[in-house]
Parts: sequence; C-alpha cells; structure tokens
Amino acid sequence: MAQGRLTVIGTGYNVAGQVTPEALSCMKQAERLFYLMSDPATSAWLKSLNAAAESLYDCYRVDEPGTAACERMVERILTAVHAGLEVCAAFYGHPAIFVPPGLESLRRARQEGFSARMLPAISFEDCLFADLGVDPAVHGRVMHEATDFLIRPRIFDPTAGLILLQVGAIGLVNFRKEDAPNREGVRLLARTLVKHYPESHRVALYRMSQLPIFEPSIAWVAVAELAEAPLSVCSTLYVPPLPRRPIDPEMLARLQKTVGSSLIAPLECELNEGTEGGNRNVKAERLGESPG
Amino acid sequence: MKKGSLTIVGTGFLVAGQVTPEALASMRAADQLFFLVAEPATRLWLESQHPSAEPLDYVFWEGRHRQEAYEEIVERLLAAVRQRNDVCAAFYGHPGVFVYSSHEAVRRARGEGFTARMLPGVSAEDCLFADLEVDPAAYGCQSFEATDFLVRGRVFDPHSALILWQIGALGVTTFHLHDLWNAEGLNILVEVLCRVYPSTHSAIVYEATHYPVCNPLIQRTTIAGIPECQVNTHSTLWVPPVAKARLDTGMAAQLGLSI
Repeated sequence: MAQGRLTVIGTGYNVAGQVTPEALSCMKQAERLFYLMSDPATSAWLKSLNAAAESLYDCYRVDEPGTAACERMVERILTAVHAGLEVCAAFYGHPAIFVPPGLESLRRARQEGFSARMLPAISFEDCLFADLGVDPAVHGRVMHEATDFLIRPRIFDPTAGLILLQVGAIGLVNFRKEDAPNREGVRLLARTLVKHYPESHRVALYRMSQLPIFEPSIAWVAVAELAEAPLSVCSTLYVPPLPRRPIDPEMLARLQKTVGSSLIAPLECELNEGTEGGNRNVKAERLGESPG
Repeated sequence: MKKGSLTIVGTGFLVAGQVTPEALASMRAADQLFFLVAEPATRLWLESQHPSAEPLDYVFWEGRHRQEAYEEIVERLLAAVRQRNDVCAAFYGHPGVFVYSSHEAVRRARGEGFTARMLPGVSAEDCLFADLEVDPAAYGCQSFEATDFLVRGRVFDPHSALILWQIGALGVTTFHLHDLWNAEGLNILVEVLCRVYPSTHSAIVYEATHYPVCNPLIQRTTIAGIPECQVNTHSTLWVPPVAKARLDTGMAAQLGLSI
C-alpha cells in the first residue's frame, strides 16, 4: 500500500464540546490537517491543536455551485496524501452526512491505493433528537434534503417523523456569503406538506446551538404557517409523526409463530407504547415551546 | 439548598473512544452517576470516572418485558433527582436513540420542576454511515425498527436508502441474554422487501464494533441472501436506493432550478 494516509473525521458542534477522543488524537497527530468549519471559534481551536492546520473555506467562490468547491477541496486533500503525508480532513457535524468532499476524497484516496478511513461523529440529527426529545426508533424517521424532497418526490410514511435539511436554502445552489432564507421555497414546501398532514399539524423549525453557552432555537408552528416562521439558511424542519397505523394481525400472527411458543410476547409493550406515543408528541411539543 | 437536576449523556461506542468532552464533564461533575452500557470494559472505565457510579442493568432479567424494565430505570433516576442530587445517567451510543427511559426521565423531571437535559452521543447509525461510507442525505433515508416495519406495514420508497434496526429480534419484545437468530422471521422480511426491490438488489447486514481494536461486521449480500448472513440482535440492515427518483420538472422550474 502506498505511503500517505487519509482519515476523515467530524468535530460535532459546540466548538470542542462534542469532539470524540479518537477524532481529537487524529487531528493532533496528522502531518496535515484540513478543515471546513462554520465559525471562527472552532477554527481557532483547530489551529491551536495542530500547527499544520489549513482551512478549506477558500475553496468556495462567490456565485459558483458547491460542486466546484467540493472538487477543489478533494484535489487539495489528495495532493497532500500523494505527497506521502498522514492527512486528516475535519468537517463540522458528522463527516458522512451532507459533506460531499469527505466521502469523495476517501473514495479517491482508496482507489489510488492509499489507506483511508472515516470516523463517526455527532451529527445534526443527534442534536435534534436530544434537543427535541425525539427517539427516531419509536415511530421511525424519514430524512431528506429539502430541495431534493421537493424536486424528486418520493413516497414516504407520515406516521414516521420527517426531518428536512436546509429548509431555509430551498432552491439555492450557488454559494453566496450571506444568503437570506428563501421564503418562496418554504411556501412551496408548506404547500406540499399539507397534502400529507392536516394544516394545523405542528412542526418544529430547529437550529442547533453552535456555541456551548447558547440554547438551540426551536420554533413550533402549524404546517400551513411555515412560510411565516422564523427561519435561517441553516434551519432543519422536524415534522412529528401522524398517529400510528393499526397492527396487521395477519403479519403479527406469522411473526409470533416464528419466535415459538416460549418466546411469544404479544407485542404488548409496543401496544402500550402506542398509546403513550400519542401523548409523547404533545409532551415533546410542549417542552419545545416552553421558554428556556 | 441544591435543586436537583438530571443530565442524560451518551458514551458512544469503543469504550471511551467516542465520548464527547461535554458528556465526560457532566459525568464527572454529577453527585450520582448511573449507567447502562453494553459491555464490561466500558463499565470499568465509567467506574474509574466516578467513585459512586451505579449500573442500571439490574432491572433486566431473562424474559422480563422491556417496558417494565425501562419504567424502573426512569423511577430510579427520578428518585435520586428528587433527593436534590445532580444526577447524570450515561447510556452507550446516543442516549436518545432506542432508549425509552432517557426521554421519559427528562420529561418527568421537567414536569416536576427540575432542570433536565440530554446531550447527544455517537449513535450506532453514526457508526454505520462512517463504516459503510454512505451519505444518508444524498438520496434521503428512511429508518424503522424491523418488527414495527413488518407489523404496521410501513410505507417506504426504494429510491431512498432504507435502514431496518434489530433485524435479529423480529417479533421479540422480551429481554434475552443469548443472541437471537430468528431465521424464519428473516424469510418473512425478505418476502416483504421483495415486493418492492429486485431480489438481487444489494443489501448490507451491519454491526457496529464496541472495541477499538475490532473492525465492524459488514456483510455485503443481496435482499434474497439476508437469511444466510450472520444476524444477531444488534444487526442492522442497510439497503441502498435502487436509483435516483424521477425529477419533477414543474417543481424544479418553480424553484428556478435547471437540472
């Protein structure tokens, strides 16, 4: 295997508050550390960890699509790997989620015979689950990038929680320094969602806290009023599930047969959980609405 | 006088390798630390972080309904908070994913006027995305608990990725010490998936690793081949999308996108 190695990691959020020990030691030990961060505090912290830290932010050019910046980032990361260095590329959040240069540089490095791997990290969804009090396992979850959700419509289960990324940036493809949220895009999204949910269905616009001292911002509104809600380009939309569908008795009987008589549990706790699940969203919603 | 508070944290996987600094600080600063973790090394490490670390696994026994055990955990945590302690409870992975007691304890503590919050942790799904090198946002992603997926006839689209949890525990709601391999249940799962996917479509049976030196278990197979894989209660199924979903040109035009 060729010399030169790539590790792609994520730092989570809250500056240094969510970095994992394994990611931290990678960043410290790397001969070259590339990073893409959303705030100056995190950048300053990374520079203090590793003297060879270098921001990838200058790969962006105003009025250019993000794909061009991604290609430049991959090139720069790969050049260092080609030079035989131990390279670490750090992104905020989770490095696999919505970070095309992370996966692409990994793929290309490996294709060229270099050793490459990715370490997991705290994602924006992890923060959402903790801050909104949502367990994605209970009702299931569906996640889409908001623009993609609109232009490539897919069948989805509204009795699962729905998470839409970048609801403030619908239809915005080119990089600009200060983008205002696209309200027209959100209006189109609201029009699509009311085909699946009652107009009064409460949804949360969520923005995680980027710095340890700040609380996340959570605004609950009726889905029909989405376009008037407080919005930023980084907002994520959470749509709580509609009530559960009834259990299919035939499928239940078939499954029970497979676990054998000694193990049969008539999915009792699931049934209990179902009724509680009804309160669950109401409660979570109240928590989200209460100040502080 | 102290007020009493509750902080729920996750330890991720890999013993101490994925714990976040904010979670670690909360564990160390607590008057009382409770924990529920999956293996002995993490337990030893947690006990070294706090002099009175107390395991919660005593609530589980062979054949007990999980819901009953979860309720006991909630009340154990609340009892400590009501005594005006700053309480921290650590769960492996993400403390809010597949953990009923954690969310319920936060809700109940807040309902009784205590400060309560949850800090995120690295989840099994985070490990899956990193180990399989897949971006769940690229085509979208839908995830369900496997039994729930089957008995409630969940609706899904093969043009997004599909994640099914606990495919080794189909139909099982009690707690068991041994690994389950409900092969017959897997045949039913395959039958349901084949209504939507070609039987030759690729699928991955995945299991995250708990230890730094071990690799995750990644079994690449097809939909039809799932029952032949080594499956246990921690196994997760990843099914990649069949293709990109069709473009709605009208919507793209309304958004001013040329694709």
